[in-house]
Amino acid sequence: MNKTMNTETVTPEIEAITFSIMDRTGDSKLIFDINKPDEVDAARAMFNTLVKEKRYLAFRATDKDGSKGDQIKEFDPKAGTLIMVPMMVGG
Amino acid sequence: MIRRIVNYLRHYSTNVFKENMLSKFLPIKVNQIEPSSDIIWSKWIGQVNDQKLRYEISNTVRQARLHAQSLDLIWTAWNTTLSGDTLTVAPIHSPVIVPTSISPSAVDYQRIEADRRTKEQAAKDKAEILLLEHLSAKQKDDLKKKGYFLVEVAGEVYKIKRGFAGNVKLINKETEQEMKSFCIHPHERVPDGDAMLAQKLLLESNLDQFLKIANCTNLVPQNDNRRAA
Repeated sequence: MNKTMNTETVTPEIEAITFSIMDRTGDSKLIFDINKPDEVDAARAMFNTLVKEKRYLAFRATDKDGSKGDQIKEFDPKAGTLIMVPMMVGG
Repeated sequence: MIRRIVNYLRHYSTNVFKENMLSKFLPIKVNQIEPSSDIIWSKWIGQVNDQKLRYEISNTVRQARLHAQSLDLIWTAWNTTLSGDTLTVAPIHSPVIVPTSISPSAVDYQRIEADRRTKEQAAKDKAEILLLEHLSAKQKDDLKKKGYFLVEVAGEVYKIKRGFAGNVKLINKETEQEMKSFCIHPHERVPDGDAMLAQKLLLESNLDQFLKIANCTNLVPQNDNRRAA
């Protein structure tokens, strides 16, 4: 019996959601394992606190080549890396 | 007990001790009968024991304190320069003793300032890394060489210069003339790199919100604006 090798490129599964929260120190990173329900709950709580209470803006960084990210307003555990920006104001 | 304390007060030579004791007993008022220490002390003791009278303040002794560097001299002044019917004692405030641990020297200031600068530079470096991670090769190159990068949104070109506020410009695509200036930044004082990334992300993903928040300034007169457009 011949075995064939699967040569398709497989997109790696997202294992974690990372928050890059901008602050005075540059940014603080929080990483949550999305395979653990309690960590997903903690990430969701963090997201809701920042976005819905503190009016942070959340951007999903789709990749790191300069292409534009998406602003997201609802928590998505599959978002990958999120950049959390403190409330924007006009100067 | 009070007598014992007062005796300590009379005989102790340490100024701090006297000041501390006085601060506890002031204000106590004593009538002067004659300028004798013993009588004054006894009156004071008696009145303290009665717990009725309190010392008041005398300009004479206050002046004595101001002119005397030592509390011993104050006591001398108090006991020898009294006049009138009322003996009054100056408010002798306990000196404010600043512990040496919270009284930074010049060297400490230099160290604190150096620490602050180090932290500030670390924050800038961190923000720069995050910004560069989200720029294209062309944008990185522009930022390095020219101090700004361009973002194209809805057919318009925006220039994001290094800075925190007032650093986003709408430019003419052909002439690169700056047409409008936008002032928009995170509410928290983040490093410039973070602010620039925030401006880029909002500009690209939600232009309406960007324009709604930002304060916009026209940089060219309306007539020139039409011509340039």
